[in-house]
Amino acid sequence: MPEKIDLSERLFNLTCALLVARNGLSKAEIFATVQGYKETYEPRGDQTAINRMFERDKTLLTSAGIPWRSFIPQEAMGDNQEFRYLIANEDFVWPKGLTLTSKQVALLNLAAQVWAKASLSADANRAIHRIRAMGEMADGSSLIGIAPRIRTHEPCFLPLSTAIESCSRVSFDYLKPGESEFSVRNIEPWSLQNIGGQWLLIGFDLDRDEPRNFLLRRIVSEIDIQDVTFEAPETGEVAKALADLELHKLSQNAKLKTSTGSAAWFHFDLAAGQTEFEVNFMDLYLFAEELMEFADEIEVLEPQPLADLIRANLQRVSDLHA
Amino acid sequence: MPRSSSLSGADRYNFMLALTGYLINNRQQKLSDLANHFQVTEKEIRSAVVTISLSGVGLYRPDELFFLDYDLLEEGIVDLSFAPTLEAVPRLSTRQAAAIASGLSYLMNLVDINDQVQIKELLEILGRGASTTKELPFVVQPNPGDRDLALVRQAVAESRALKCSYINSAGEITEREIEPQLLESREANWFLKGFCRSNQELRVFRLDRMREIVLLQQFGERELTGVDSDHIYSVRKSDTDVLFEVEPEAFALIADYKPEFEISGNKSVQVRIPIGQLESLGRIVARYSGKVRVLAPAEARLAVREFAQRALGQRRPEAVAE
Repeated sequence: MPEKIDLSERLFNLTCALLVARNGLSKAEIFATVQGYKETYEPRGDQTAINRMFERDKTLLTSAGIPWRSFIPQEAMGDNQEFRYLIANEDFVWPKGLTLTSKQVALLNLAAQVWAKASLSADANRAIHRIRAMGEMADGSSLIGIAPRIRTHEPCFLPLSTAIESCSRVSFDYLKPGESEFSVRNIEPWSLQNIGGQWLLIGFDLDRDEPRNFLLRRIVSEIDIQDVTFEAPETGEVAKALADLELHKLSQNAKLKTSTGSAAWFHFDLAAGQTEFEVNFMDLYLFAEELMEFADEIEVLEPQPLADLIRANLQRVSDLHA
Repeated sequence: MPRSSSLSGADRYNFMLALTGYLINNRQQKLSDLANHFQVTEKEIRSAVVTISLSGVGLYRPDELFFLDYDLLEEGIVDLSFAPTLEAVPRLSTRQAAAIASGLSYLMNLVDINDQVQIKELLEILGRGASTTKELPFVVQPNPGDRDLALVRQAVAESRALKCSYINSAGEITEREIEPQLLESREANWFLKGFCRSNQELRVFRLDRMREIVLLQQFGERELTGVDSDHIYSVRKSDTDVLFEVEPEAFALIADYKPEFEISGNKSVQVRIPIGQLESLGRIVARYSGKVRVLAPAEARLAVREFAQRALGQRRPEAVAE
């Protein structure tokens, strides 16, 4: 009996086989020769299980960023139309002549640590293994003592990222602030953006027929990834949505008042003696929340809805703790 | 320091690809150096190179693609030779590239101008080095940061003490001298862990509560514990154990105060968190505008209610919605 080959070994063998075979390999050739397949392969037997294994492995290679290709050879255009598979070296390796300095490696290391224990730390660590494989050691002397962190505690982050990568339609329940009932949204997801610490989904809303933004923390259901794909947005569409968001922020302005020496005065970096100040905000509800910790020392001069919202929030907090 | 965790599945596959790429360009490497370079154990390296060398590839016999010098391996030296077909290190997967790129862009405002140039260059490299031409699925917009960030960052890098005016959560303003150790972030907020000369102990300071920062002389080594822990705040015996009920939209609270708590699903959870000063609890809870509720003890609930009542009392009468 041959020793059992584990997943990592089977994938490695498959990768090497597809890289080495300049003319590609047919499925039968892969099954007959690649370790991890050949042990269980019976050319005349039932191939359901081994086919399923191959399909799964192809998906794993894709998600690991190993771009395999499949093609039908010209000379086989007759009735025997069998796919052949290969990995082209130019798809596989880093662009030629690319080198990293030790300082750059240090920055890349720190960039990976930003994910700490968040859901992307595994991907970040795998990236770092590939980056270290390029040879240079990190020189991070000037980067010691920083521990920046991005979080993705929203359970919908990874499913949405997967759907964006595969251009799959999604639907989810979304609870707009100030409303008590959620609504079902059908979206072509374009991009996840972290702005000021908040994760935002930019996508095309199929029911409203225009691009819309969704705060991940307001998604209250699991993400239903559908079997319907869409064309990736054209270059610039996401940038346009972001620019619209920035314009929207510039149009929303609050006038606030606090007293010198208050925590709000520290937080908003006001000048000595300055008590009135203006702030632009993206989302009324988010901004109200940001101001809540200063609620006992800030006065909202305008807009009135912001003042009302803070007051309602305070009343709710008070009632909940009666 | 090499980590002790063992690799499996997709992580091990990824590591073997990376290691193969590295060993192509770097013959005769010490096991210990490799372990250090990749931050994995020597055992892991040994296991991986043996697996790589045994990879039978396609129609080739095993030793036609890889040859491992087992005699040298006994002496702790890895010498793996390759057929010329495998040329280099695999590029990054889309998700790996997006994770690293997001980390880099998050760092943008934290590093000095030279490093910013490097980061821009790296982002460009990542764009070319990812195995996709599509836009990355997720992006972190550079954090505008705190006005004092660069200065505090310099103090950490140069091991220089700093003097500042600080307002604590009770609203008291004092002059502090701090020996900065670690600069951490949680989403849009920055925290400095450092030895407070005024209190003669390790403390956590919020950057938005600092003003008039002046850098002082370099400080000497000091034995401190708890600087690198995952917690921003350390737990003290005098802390009050507070029971919270947290709705999904407010899970960030748990990530901040109890990072080891496993969050899953879309349901409210109850969690106990030790809180140092109950006076500050109202600010913490108010921020989540009713999505966080204190269940016990009674004095903690009272502290929250008092904060809300005090803040309601200071609203202007004309701001009342009714």
